Amino acid sequence: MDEPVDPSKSFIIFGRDISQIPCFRNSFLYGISGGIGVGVLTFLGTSRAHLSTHVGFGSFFCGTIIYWMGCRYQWSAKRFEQQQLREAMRRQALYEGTQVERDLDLKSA
Amino acid sequence: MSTWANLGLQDSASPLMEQLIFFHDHALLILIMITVLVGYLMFMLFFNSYINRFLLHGQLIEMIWTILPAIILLFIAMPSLRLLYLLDEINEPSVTLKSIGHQWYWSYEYSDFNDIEFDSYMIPTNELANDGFRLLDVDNRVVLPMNSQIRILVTAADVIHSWTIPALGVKVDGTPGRLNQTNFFINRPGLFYGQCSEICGANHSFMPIVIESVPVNSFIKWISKNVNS
Repeated sequence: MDEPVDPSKSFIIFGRDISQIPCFRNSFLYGISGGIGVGVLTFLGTSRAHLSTHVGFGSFFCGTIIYWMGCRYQWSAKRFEQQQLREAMRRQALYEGTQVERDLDLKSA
Repeated sequence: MSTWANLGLQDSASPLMEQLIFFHDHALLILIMITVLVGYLMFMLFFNSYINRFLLHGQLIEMIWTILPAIILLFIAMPSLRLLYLLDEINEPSVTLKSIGHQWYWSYEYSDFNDIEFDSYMIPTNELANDGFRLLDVDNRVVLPMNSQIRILVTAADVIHSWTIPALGVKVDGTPGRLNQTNFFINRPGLFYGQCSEICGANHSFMPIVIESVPVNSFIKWISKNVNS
């Protein structure tokens, strides 16, 4: 989660480095590329420019939002697990060698 | 802290503020996508050649543009309500701080520790050190321990004030005759600045708040020093 920032990848808008926002970059990459891809395929299949533009934009919109929702949920769940693990390790270090640890070991055994 | 031309939220110093920033990012992306969609629809009007003078309704499209926004709002409301209830969770604070707003300074009381009390005035610009922060530095900072739950009770002695620290996601009104309570948790050491957030007279802009977050043992030493003095 707390990886060092690569200055070449930072993209600052209004004082905020948006490359550091989880899932932001991938959402737009997949959304834009998916939109362009579906739009081009639609045009190749139908030869209708307006329809292809609408389909491409719709794919971009839906793709970006759907990927963002899924990615953010998974990121949030993983972050919660990491926090639980960190807390468990802290408690283990706190109680190591004490009666509390022995009681807990007895309970789990 | 805030610097000139700051538009966004400050970096968080509290888990709740972190969650507020995550929710802000989520809501803002949805808003950006809606804005892009509306911009695209408006742009495509330039290329529209359809005319129907007798258009009255379109049931399918009306269903779509009712149900789709409702679904989008659901995806905003669910994390919003989760965060709303998270902000109101009860926990066991280890330190209680009382903050009283006056015209135009704050006074603080640490009643847990033999009644430590002090006033906190803004340092005037003509008395500020060269490395001081104009309109933000105070003579006596609020010292609080990091990684501890802190309860704050805010009130006021004269008119309504508001005690704010953006980096912690805290804003509590201080109303005369009323005690407002909130909890927060500082997860890193440092100085966190805020300013009075309710219009309270001529010097409303000149009664800032500074929290100095220190490790617990430093806080205990500070308490001992202030109890003795």
